[in-house]
Amino acid sequence: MADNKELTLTRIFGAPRDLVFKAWTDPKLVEQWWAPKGVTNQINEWSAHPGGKIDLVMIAGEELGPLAGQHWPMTGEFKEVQKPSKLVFTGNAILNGKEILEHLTTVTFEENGDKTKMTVHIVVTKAVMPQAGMALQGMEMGWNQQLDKLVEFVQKQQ
Amino acid sequence: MNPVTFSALAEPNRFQIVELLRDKPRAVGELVDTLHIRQPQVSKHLKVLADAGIVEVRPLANQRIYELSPKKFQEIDAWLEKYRKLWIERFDRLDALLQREKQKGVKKVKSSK
Repeated sequence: MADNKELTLTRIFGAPRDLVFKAWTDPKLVEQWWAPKGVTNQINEWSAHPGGKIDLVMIAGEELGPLAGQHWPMTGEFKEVQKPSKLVFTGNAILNGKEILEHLTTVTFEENGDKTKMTVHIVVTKAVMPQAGMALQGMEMGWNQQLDKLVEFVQKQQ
Repeated sequence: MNPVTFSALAEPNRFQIVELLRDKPRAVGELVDTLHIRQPQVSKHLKVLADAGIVEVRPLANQRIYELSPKKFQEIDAWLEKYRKLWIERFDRLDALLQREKQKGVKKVKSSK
């Protein structure tokens, strides 16, 4: 069991703030970036309003070889939604029916000319070892294996 | 975490054993009683976990006491680093999505002219 651990990440996106905010609140868009490639994102619910629920399952695809078919469910709840500047939500990851990870995520969006500065602050209130490591292992396999595809995708966009 | 560790933990009974040992070290007999599976199977699972470096055994009188291997479980900081990496990768995908959505917007404007 971990004490509270925190992460803060910031990035500037070349997109208007309303669009970045929409990418976080419209489930059809969230579905396209939340899970690594090779992992299907099944979003049952992503209701971006205070009290709204999050209910999704990430499912490992064939590309993940021995992990194919693994399910990584996550549930949560939106605590604060201030369009277009702030989101706060809880997340609980479940593995083999047990809660292994609990976190509180705050996302803020600042206009920066025609760009958006986004800050994600995550407080991990519970991380059960080694199970939480297992879940990350699966995700890591997903993104490592798909890194070539991402590079290819970015090159096509240019 | 390497694939050996991962697959050692992925089996439901071994997962349960690790859960039980997380509370406290236990003798084989106690694990058998708690899990309601036969001793040879428990011993087999414990061997897999020991080979993967997840559990260690020490003798106590005529018992074998299993406990989680301490070095495996000071992993939280390493885990946090990986979790950070997961988010950075997410941001890359978000960036790609935003570029796609922007291009859709541009196409709409062009086609309405």
